[in-house]
Amino acid sequence: MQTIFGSHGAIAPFQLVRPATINDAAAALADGAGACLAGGVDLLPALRAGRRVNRVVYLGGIHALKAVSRTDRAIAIGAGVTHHRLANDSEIARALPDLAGIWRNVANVRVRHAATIGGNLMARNPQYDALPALQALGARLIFAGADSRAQATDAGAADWPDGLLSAVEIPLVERRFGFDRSMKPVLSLAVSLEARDGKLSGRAAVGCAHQRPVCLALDFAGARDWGAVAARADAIADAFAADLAEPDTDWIASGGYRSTLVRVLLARQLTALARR
Amino acid sequence: MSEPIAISLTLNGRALRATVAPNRVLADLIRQDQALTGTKIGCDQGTCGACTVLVDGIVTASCSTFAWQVDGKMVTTIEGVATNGALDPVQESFKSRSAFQCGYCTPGMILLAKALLAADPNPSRATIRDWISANVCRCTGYQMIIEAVEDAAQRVREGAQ
Amino acid sequence: MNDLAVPLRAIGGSRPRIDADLKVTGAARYTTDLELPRMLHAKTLRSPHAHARLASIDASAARTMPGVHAVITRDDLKGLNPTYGYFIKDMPIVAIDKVRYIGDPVAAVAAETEEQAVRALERIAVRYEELPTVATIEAALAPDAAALFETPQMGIVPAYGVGASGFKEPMKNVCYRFAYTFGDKAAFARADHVFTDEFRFSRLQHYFLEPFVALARVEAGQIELWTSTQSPFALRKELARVFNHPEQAIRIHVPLMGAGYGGKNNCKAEPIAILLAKLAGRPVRFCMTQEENFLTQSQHAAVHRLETAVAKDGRFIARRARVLLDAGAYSDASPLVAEKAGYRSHGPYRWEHVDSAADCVMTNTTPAGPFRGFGGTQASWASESQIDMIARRLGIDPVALRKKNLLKLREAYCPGESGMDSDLAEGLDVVCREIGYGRGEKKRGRGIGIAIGFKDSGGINKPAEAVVKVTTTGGIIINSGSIEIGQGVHSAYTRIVAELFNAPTERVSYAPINTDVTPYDQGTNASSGIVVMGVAVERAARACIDQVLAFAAEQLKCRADELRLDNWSVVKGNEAHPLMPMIMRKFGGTGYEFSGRGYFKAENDHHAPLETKCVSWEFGWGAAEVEVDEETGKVTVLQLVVSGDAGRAIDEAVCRGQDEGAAVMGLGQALFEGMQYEGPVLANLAAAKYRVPLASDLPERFRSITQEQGHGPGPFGSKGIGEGGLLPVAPAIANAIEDAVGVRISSLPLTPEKVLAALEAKRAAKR
Repeated sequence: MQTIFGSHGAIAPFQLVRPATINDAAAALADGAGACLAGGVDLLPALRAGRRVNRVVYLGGIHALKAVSRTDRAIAIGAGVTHHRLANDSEIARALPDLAGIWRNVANVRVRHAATIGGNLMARNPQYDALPALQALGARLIFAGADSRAQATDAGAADWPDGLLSAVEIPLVERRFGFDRSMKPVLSLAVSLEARDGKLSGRAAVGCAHQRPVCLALDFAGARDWGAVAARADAIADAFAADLAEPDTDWIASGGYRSTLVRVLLARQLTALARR
Repeated sequence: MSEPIAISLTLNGRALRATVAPNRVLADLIRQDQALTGTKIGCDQGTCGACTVLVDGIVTASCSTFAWQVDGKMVTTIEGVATNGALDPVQESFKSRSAFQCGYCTPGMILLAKALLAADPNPSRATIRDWISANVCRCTGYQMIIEAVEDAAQRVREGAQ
Repeated sequence: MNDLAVPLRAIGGSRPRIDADLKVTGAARYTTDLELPRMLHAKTLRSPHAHARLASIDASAARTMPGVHAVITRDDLKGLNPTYGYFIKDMPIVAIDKVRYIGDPVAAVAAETEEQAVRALERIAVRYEELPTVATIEAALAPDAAALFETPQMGIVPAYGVGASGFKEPMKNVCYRFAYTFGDKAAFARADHVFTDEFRFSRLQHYFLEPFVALARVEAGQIELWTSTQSPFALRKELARVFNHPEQAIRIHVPLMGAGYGGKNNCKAEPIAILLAKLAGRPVRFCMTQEENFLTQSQHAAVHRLETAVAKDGRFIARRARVLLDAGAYSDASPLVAEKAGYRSHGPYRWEHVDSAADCVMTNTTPAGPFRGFGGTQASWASESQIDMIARRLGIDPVALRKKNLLKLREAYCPGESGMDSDLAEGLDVVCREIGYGRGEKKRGRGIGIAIGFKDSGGINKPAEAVVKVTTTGGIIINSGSIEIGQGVHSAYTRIVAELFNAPTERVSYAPINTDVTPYDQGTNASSGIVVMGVAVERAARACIDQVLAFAAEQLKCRADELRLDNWSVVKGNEAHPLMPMIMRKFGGTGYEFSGRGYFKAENDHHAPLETKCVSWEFGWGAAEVEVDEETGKVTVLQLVVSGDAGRAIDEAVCRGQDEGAAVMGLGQALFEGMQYEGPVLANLAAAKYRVPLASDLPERFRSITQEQGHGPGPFGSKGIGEGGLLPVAPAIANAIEDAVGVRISSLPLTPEKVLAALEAKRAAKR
């Protein structure tokens, strides 16, 4: 329980390191005594609230963290890419038009310019949007260790490697993506419907309802085309909600209500996406 | 701990050199070192937007930005909006429409509106509403602010003709 | 004087406010912007426990920390009367025997930098002995509940008039009870129906962007204070008592304020700032953080139990109202809020019998105090919700039911009280027309609701004095203690005075507020600016003009009543005589200043329940159209219409802004906003978690209509506008939900989860 309420004028002194490369940044973070600063949307309030860090590692000068690169199979977006850039970059818009469109409405215009995808992920705030979206998209998170080795993990994995998050990698497939954030802070729901070689698959990720977002594969119960998916939307949604770990009950909402919302919102999303 | 950092920036159109501790926040450089108190501290955690300044034209929470982060940049505070005492179109609109009450959010709102009109000179009401949602006003209920921004857009367009 | 047809030159329409240039250029200075040479910074240490004995507190290590010039704990309160409050003086400067809520201050430090102050606070060792907590009204009233106060606290019960009574500390964990009654309880027996319903009202945080802040300098026996307070004179008197310091040696300055909404009254940041300044021998600035605002003051949550007796044709007969206000851990203004929550509980309707009681229940949570609406918000929520419920039970249209019972223009609120100064039915028609009530087909999932928010306005027994002076060249200066908190009151007085002087508004200015020289004002509250101080200002202006005309008459050797003022000349017949040369002829080149004083206070009257008749009444008519998503419970407000009666609008934009700002506060409280406690712990402390309305929350159609019915007691027939717009919004939306999908939600906020649960219960009941 906080007993002293600091202000921006009482932030404890720290050593500032401004590396130019990912390797240098990872090295500066290797001893665990450093905190990353990009947009500052999470770090500054934490420092103001009394968090003491020995070292602040500023990532804003590392060009490699802002790179966007695309292959046939995936697009890699640097962890230092801001929400604003993700929403407006032409390369990302070509590769992931649904995501780019949705991202224009994440947070607000001020936060979109400052905050980064990497910061949003590493804040581990269950209310934040990047993780459920990336989980639904089947993305991988790329971490850079101090020894220059990169480690990749699924966005849905429970544990993430140590090191500096350097990029997110989103597979490029025939896909329809939606993200319903209309019921935040109770619930958010990201849905990706994908087709590979004529086979349908999908994922839905639930945000705001557990300690971390939860992503599960969708079971289309044998549906062969999107029309059939739309027709079975209720059943698919019911099955998903039944599989989902019980949502939390807190001062925002009850777990039971969150479960109900999952069913209702997922059925609606499936119908809307399948009918596009 | 780190040495103080020498920075140079442009503040309200004038070159400024300063030496700042790494933990010195931009709001304090502005309000204390430069005695420009138009920029306000509201929530002090980057949520309410009362501390908004423009950094290279981008709306920025000065309470949640370190001073060294604006090295080499152009910073505009509310004091830099009027020219030689003449109000700019956004200020004129806020004034003529009384789009303020206590005035604490007003500097931030005016800078936010300026950034909006720079990005979109003919914004729809929906766009204005979306941008204004970045800042909290507890007094006005926002509708009169939105109308002032529409009015300002028209002033700017007319002025440009 | 109230003739709306008489054209006025400086009144009406919208003009730039006198504070406009200051506020749009950033030149406006608030208390937070002020500095004094050698100023120190104060920070506080607050309790992590909701209820505990303060077993020991040792600040010796803090006192020697770098940059520290003063430390306060309970050991540093000698020679003071260290507790303050309104009717009951129970709140200590820093905790003495116990802490009573999470956030209760236990120590304070003044240091050269805020960081040094924080480091010093970390060195203060505190030992607490935890006590059981009572975090809710129900817990506090349980027979075995822990008592927040084990002994009676110093306090008073004021004199009341006919029908009203007050009780200090009537029972454990109740610091005050207000009761009001008229008529005979036998009326209940005459009813065809008695409906009993309970309503729960949530707790809002004021969320002014400028926090509680004070800058104090104590030198040579003088206390000089700059602070963001709505009532500097009342504060001065309280500080004089607390510090045993002569009142005339306390000077309080109040610059522009970054809003108050009622919360900035009585002692808040000031005692700590003053005591630290006294001990340090240097000026001290104590600026709270937003979190500390949440831990210092809030609105009152409430439980209302309404037993309402009606005839089968819908005529109201009797109401018994039992109100429990959650006062938080210290009494603050709760007794006064209880007065109004009780007094307003029957609304602007005709009754044969009313029996209201409002209790202030102490809980281990943030102290609750004045908040826009002041008991009227709570009362309107309950009463206007129940009226709709009764209408539906009786099969009567809710608007028709109200019209059947509404008080008429000039009809007394209750025995001994003043009459309504708006035509309530006329106001109701305005919002019904605008929302489209009764027009169009009923669509599935859509509904319309209306409500009338109600409170008395003008305060109770408020003295207000003003001085207006005019210089040789015709420069007019208003000297009045009304604080500009955003409501536009300085601009309004400027227009009134300009009208009376027949002068352009540019020639009128407003003097800074300083309790040494500003005439007395009880406080900027209760929507009383226009109807109380405005009258004093008008009288002061007229007295000043009389001085000018008397002087001119003497110079022109005629009668004053042959002259009128026109700009800065006097006109006799069709000759204009400029005043400046006249003045300089008599007084010499340095000229002179004329001044006039004006005073207003409602007469004391023991027949009036509150010892003076209410000066005015404020109504907020509201209407909402909603769409309910029956699968998620989400409520979308499609249209919101609010209307207040300004009597005669001094400035249209100012009136509109007040109503719209208040309505959006009401919208937030209706749908999602509120301080959420998990036990005694505030779960949504400050910005990141406490959601306030943003521009994106505005309904698709949002309209405010300022009526000018012309019956107000203020200058030119004006009335106060400032709170009414908030009051009807929550009940109008709840009523709209019932209209849309047939479920009644009686507690705030009207969350999707509650609506869905009610819908599911309704479906289950049908099966």
